[in-house]
Amino acid sequence: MSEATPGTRSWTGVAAHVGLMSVYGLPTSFALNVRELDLLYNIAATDTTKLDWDSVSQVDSLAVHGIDHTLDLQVSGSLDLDISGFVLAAGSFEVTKQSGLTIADGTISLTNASLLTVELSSVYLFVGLNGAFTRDADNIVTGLDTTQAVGFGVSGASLDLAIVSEATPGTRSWTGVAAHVGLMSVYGLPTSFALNVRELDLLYNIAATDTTKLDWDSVSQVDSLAVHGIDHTLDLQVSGSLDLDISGFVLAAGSFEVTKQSGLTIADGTISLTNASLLTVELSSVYLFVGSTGRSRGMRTTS
Amino acid sequence: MTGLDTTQAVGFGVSGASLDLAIVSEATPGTRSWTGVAAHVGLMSVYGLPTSFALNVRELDLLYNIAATDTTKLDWDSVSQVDSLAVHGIDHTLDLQVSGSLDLDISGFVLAAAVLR
Repeated sequence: MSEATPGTRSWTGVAAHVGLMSVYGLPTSFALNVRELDLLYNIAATDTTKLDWDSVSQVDSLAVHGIDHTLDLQVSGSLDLDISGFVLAAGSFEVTKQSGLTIADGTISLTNASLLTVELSSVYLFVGLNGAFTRDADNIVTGLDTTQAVGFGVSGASLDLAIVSEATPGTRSWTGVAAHVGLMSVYGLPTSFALNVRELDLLYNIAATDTTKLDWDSVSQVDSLAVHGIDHTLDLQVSGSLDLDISGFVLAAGSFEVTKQSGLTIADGTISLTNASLLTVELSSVYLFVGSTGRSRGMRTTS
Repeated sequence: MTGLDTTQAVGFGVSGASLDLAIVSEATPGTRSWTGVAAHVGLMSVYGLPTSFALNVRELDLLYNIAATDTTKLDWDSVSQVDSLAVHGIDHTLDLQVSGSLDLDISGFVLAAAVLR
């Protein structure tokens, strides 16, 4: 869209979709598919203004109508890669770059800020021998088949990454990371050995260069992301559960949560601290056996 | 995971255990830190010994309040940030508390049971 002369500004909106992108004719042991790839691209005019395409009635019938004025670029889709069963990777992704945002968390207030988000979901990863995907009727990956596999696998994983940057000349940026792994296992080892990590969750709040941290749970622009659960006092939190069985000689299982917080005001009536930090380690439902012929009820080595 | 099946086992086992550890550190340039530990073991047993021998430790609880280098101790039950943790039960006057019960049976010749507090 161009303005009338003598104006020289023009605004460009791009919306592209690819149903399936594949490589063909390579050895059957190699497969790479990109599905449902969507691109939205909002190109600013020379004065850096961007059009709010979803308010432009003349493009109602076009896919560019979905482009908001804060959006710079968005790419989404799903991908699966199979290299001879040695490396399997699959998952959905969405990368979004926005700018011109007003972001406020109650303490930090930014205008004309930019936000980059990366979302990975339904991620499956295997590295080893004889791994395979399970697929539905549409050939969409639904999981890992590790029946004959020897190696390391991750199922049901996701990652949300958000980076907020202040407008120039400011150079500060704040990063939030939220990751989840449904199951992390080793496969194909002797049946007497099992190691599983389940429901692993990570929250990570990376401070700006001035050591300020964002209160992500007050940032409306990340409402739909898991980083929205990150409080400004949180530095790092890792939680999950683990079970280990070594030939029945050593059995260990339990849930854990490790949390590091900072910027706390802690007072017990006598001792008063500001900007204090707190590290907590919680282990629960712990079972331990050392000996012979022990067996843990409910232990499973496959997903 | 719901428990240990020790039907055929010979060894040492712990069930229903938990641990809460909290460390508070003051901001730099301060170097003091305070540590609270709360641990619980539902059952600690030896398995597979002759049936005539039994040793069980039950409901073992430990509370440990580790002072800072200036010997001050934190009143953990007044620290709101650890409300959800078992260390919240540690008073500033407490140094260490261990409690639980024990039973021992040696072929019926020696029987002992006690509650430790």
